[in-house]
Amino acid sequence: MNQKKLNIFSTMLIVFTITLFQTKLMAETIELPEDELATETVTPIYDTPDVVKNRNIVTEKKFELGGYLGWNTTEPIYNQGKFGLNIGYHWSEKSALVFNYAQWMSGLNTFYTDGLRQDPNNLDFDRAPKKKYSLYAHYEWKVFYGKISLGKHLTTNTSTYPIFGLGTTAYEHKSFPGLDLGVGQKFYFNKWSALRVDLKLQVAQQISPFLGDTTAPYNNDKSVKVGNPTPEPSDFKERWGVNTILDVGVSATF
Amino acid sequence: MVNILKKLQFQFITNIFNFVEMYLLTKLKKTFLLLLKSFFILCISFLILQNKIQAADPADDPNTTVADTIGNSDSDSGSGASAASGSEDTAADNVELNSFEQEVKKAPTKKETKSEEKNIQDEKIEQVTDLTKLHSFNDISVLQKKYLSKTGRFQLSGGVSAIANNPWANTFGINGKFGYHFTEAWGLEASFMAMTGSDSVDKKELQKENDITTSNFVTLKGYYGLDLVWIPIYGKMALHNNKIVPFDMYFSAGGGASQIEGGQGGGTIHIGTGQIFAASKSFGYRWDFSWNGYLAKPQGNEQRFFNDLVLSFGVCFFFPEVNYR
Repeated sequence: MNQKKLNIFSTMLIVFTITLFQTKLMAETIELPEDELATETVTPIYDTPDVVKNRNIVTEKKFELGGYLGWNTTEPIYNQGKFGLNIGYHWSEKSALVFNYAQWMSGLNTFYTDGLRQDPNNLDFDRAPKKKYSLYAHYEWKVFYGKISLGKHLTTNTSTYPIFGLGTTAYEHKSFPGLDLGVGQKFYFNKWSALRVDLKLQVAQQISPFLGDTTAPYNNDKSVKVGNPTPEPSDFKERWGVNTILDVGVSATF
Repeated sequence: MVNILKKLQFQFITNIFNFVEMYLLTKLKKTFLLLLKSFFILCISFLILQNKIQAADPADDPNTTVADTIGNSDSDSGSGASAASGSEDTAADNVELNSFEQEVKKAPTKKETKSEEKNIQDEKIEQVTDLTKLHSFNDISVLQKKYLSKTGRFQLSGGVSAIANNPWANTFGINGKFGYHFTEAWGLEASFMAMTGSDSVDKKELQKENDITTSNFVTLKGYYGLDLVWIPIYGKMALHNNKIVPFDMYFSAGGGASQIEGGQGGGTIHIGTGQIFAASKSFGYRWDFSWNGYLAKPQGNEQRFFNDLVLSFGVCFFFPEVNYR
């Protein structure tokens, strides 16, 4: 009898011990309410997006001053080169008014005029009125502002802007109006200086240097032909033409 | 109190085990007893260890809070890009632009000495603002998450071109390019141009006023060549402060052959630059400004060196689909 009781008691203790272990070894199941779990990735959409919150290059209410070299790449007779100044004011981050002064280099485009000077052409374009300077007022619409990465260790800011302008080109005897349409891009060295590249189409009234002798006996009329009388600047015809202008320079804002 | 209970529990179980052992000694062999004893000791050890883990405070675990706040940030600027929508990229780009504005303002990073280095495990991270305590990166790839990946992809582009420096002809045409990008920075590209022209006002006046036909002036008829393309610059621009437009700026150099109107063309050196503005991960807008220098022999004239500045605008397509990370 005692042996039976001992057996029952020992069996109960073993079962109790195993049960105790099982309780402690069981993993806990954590249940979360379904409505608190995320079902998709959602990006907030702002009514007034403001992608640039902390602008590194600030141009608002600042003046700009710069120098440049330029080329009229479609000029056949006059010297294509010029140098000049850009002086402007940025009244906001989107808009600026810049005055572009260009001093045209003296001389001719010898790539073409040397051949036209030789026989049998005999054209002397030194007789044509000299181009002096141009002065244009440009509105720059700064629609793009961003930054570029050069390799993996250098970043710098950049700005791209359409250009709209009106101005005048002065010859030795007269000035002619014109308008500019183009695009420019700046690459900033630091917060106040930048490399500036502008490409413009210039539609302007200009002198036609090809004054010829079109009436017989073809050697009495004033023209650029060697041997004919030298014409006056006012003898040359005027026309409208399209020029491609490329300006490369540096600018500083302060 | 918990420790006392644990000790009593342990003692109770040990006594049970001893009782069982004495009972079984009369019935079972010693080897089986040894195995059974080992099993129970193992269970008891696990029980005590389990109690110790459950007694730890969850708030002391730094990994929980940090894992909830880091999200999907990734510092690699490799070829892959996530399949997130445009709005997700815009939001991410907003954060990037702002964070990198701060980077540009910072002074050059000094080399940290051993005394300045902090072990991340020493810092308690409980809130988002505590992330500033983390050890700073020594090498950051700037402008991360390249939007328009090019590595291992072909590019097909086409558009219109115009000669920007020929005063005697108005020359326009079409262009096509087909290239392959080995890496984000390097690629090969084959290109062609087919041009047509009309006499400019200057040429007409020269002929009218001076009776001169400009047969020695060259008009480009066509060009085909092969270029090595280098894309070192990647950037992002904000359009009207509303939208981010990623772009690449490239430089190309190579050679080919040019054909001219009414004459014999020749070998050509080509140098160019341009930008690709990404509209999607496979499509973009492209402009190109190139210089072609070539030897040509106009009809009835000697061979001379000519050069053309070519301005092109077009679109480009990238395929196959980018490899997502």
